[in-house]
Amino acid sequence: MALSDPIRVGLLCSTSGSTALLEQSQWRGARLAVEEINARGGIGGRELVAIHYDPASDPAAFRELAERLIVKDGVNTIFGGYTSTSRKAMLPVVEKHNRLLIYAQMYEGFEYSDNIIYSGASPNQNGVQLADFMTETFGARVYFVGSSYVYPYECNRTMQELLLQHPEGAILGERYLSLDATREQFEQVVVDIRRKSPDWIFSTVIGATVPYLYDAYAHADLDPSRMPIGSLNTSETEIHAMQRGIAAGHITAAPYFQSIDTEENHRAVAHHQSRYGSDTPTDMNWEAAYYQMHMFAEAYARSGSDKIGAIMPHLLGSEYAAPQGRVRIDPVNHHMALYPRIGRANADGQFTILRESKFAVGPDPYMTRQTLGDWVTKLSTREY
Amino acid sequence: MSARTDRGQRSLTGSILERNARVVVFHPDDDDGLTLTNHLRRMGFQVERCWPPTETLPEKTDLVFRALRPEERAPKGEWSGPDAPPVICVVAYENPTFIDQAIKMGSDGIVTTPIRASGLLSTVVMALYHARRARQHTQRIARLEQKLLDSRHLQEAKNILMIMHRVSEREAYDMLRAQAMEKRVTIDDICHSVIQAGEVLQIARGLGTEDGRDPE
Repeated sequence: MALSDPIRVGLLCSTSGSTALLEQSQWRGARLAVEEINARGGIGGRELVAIHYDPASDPAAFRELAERLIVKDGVNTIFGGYTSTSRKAMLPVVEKHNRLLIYAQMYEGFEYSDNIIYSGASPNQNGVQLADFMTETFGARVYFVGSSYVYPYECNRTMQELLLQHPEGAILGERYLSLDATREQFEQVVVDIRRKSPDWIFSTVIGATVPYLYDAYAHADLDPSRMPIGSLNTSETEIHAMQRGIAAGHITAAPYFQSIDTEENHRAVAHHQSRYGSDTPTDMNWEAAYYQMHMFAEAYARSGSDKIGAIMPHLLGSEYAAPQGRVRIDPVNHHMALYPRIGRANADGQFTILRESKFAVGPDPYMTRQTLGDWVTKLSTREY
Repeated sequence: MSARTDRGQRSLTGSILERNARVVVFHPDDDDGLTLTNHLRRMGFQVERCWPPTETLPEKTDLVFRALRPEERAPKGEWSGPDAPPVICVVAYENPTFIDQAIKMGSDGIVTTPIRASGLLSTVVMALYHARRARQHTQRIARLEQKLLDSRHLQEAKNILMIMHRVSEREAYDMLRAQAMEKRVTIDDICHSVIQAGEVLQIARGLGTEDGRDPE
């Protein structure tokens, strides 16, 4: 291989199907980082090229395309995956060929593979903070609505354990709808929510169905200032797909919002807008895909190879000044140290940040030391 | 266990493998289902695979593998009961939701997908071994409970005879034993008869203890 040959990585982001909206955001984040890396002269003078395939939100296609990227295209590193089902589909492939998968998405935790870097939030970096903020502000009687697959099940179990530590903690309802559910089904759920009158609603609804829930809620004339929806995944991108103002007042806990006031974020968002227009928002999926590509390029520059055995020691423990703050890959569990934040959606489809952590919170994907209102790092208070 | 220390004892694992155990695999017909059935056949088990799970098991099933699918929210423990074979659950996600679900189903072991040859035999042997030990313990507990009950009956019967005939405890026991030998039944049977008769004759159980307190 010549020293001027391009460095090729795989990028699996769906352009159709139930989670395409979010995976397109991942794609934009990864592409933007690739452009920035190449504008600086690539990795040691070599161009970084992302080979992109469309898995169409289908786990089986994720598996086949991961295999194809490795076997046919000779790629050593794959970026991609939104649902846990898609990650789980790719896991045996990267383990079998001993390649690296970089999964830039928060998920429910309880996994580790030598061949995966988990660069989204762990449940102790969003769920614990949401539970704490919501029980303090609104109460602990909660209605659960989610999509029917593993992430919502496990995420809800974790949330329920946190809530039931609260003296008034109660689970008023638990509904699961398929990833291709209709708006009418969400109307029925909202009827049930109105009847049970919880303190707040915990939503683990995913992908294209997210706008249905918020829309059905808004049209039932429920009041977000008294009974908001709290979520770990509803981002600027889902809100952008809703009718304007529909999500205003609802709460999301995430390490990244477009409104974050850091120099790194302003620069990346400006670059993003010059490329994709000011109407296309960034979000937590975009940011994780963005910083992860940069972290990979930096590790490659240090190791001179993307063979997993060579690059992994340079990825583990590495830090990067990401838009959300200085993030770090935990060398023990392969997850990220991140900055938990609580945001309230405003009328412009952006988030007003109510609380944020001053320091990076280490990942605890097995939720070994998490109790309500007792985090390792307290969030500082803004506006509240 | 003695098997661990005694020299020349048969291998427990060997004897389990030698039995050509009959294994039922409830798993969809996919890569993992195929890998699982193939490995089990390599280990010499008689394997039948089907999906969805049936309500009853084929006769003389020694072991069941049962896939827990994420889309099944609350699978029932179809084949629980004292004589049911051990069940090993196959889960895709090793997280508390699915581990709890396996425990609720009465599972004796868990394997996670992707299925690998490595670790499978240990899981099978440990599940069969622990299930057998659990069965032996259950039987032993049942026997001990019966014994405990018998000895309570004996005490009760002796008390009745002691009050009725104003005899010592030793004499009361000799009377029961003599009766049992004469009628060729167990002492426990005689005790039952005495207790029943005692109830009919309204020699309340309480009387015995009241009597016992008299000297105070």
